[in-house]
Amino acid sequence: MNINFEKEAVEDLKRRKENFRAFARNLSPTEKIRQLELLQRRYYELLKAREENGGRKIPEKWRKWRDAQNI
Amino acid sequence: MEKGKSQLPSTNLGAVIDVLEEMQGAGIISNYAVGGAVAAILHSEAISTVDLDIFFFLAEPPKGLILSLEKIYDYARKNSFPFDKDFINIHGWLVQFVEASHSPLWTEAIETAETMTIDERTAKVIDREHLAAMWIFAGRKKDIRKIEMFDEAAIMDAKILYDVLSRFNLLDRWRLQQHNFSNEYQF
Repeated sequence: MNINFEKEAVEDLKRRKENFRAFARNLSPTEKIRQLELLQRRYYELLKAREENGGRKIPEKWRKWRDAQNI
Repeated sequence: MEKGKSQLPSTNLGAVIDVLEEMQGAGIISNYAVGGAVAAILHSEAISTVDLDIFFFLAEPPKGLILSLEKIYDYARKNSFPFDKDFINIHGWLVQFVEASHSPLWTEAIETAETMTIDERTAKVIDREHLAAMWIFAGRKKDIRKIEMFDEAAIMDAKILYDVLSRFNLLDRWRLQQHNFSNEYQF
């Protein structure tokens, strides 16, 4: 019973991921760039949080990106 | 919400395209196209990247063996675009200028680039098959992953890809990696 439930949950997650990717691929070029800019901001926040919590330092490239954004 | 529109702020890539067109108009570069991960994104879906690769030709081809990008840096200085040895910061984008004239593959990639509309500007973007050939030549894990992404999206024309790979002697490199790709791309 539990195994079936987990299998269905994984299948559902895969389906949703594929649906999102299909949606992302069909966006206009401008919208894809907007998505990238959003992704960059989120990814930088993750890198910053990791560093602030004693993890690896923010890579040099991303520091340059932050400076370019005036964050 | 209407498809293709969002509440997100506008992108600055349009402003970068304006700068590239101005550089072309000023006789600094003769032709250019977007390559690398940003081109992959434009053809497929967003992946994480910080830099924007611009493959280009200098308007005055390099005379000797040493390539000088001084005219590009002069332009950056005049327009107050900060730069270091890796990137020029143009309106918040870390732009890497890659001079392409020494590579027949890169040259053809620029000459056959597609056009896309970004922020109401026309942008030249290297096509999928030339990008895949450039990535197979580079051969890094992240390059192979981008080809896998194109493969999953089924957006490469196998006939065109085979033609590009064979003309630029890249079939052997492709065959070393083709176990990563679907049946359509087994050459």
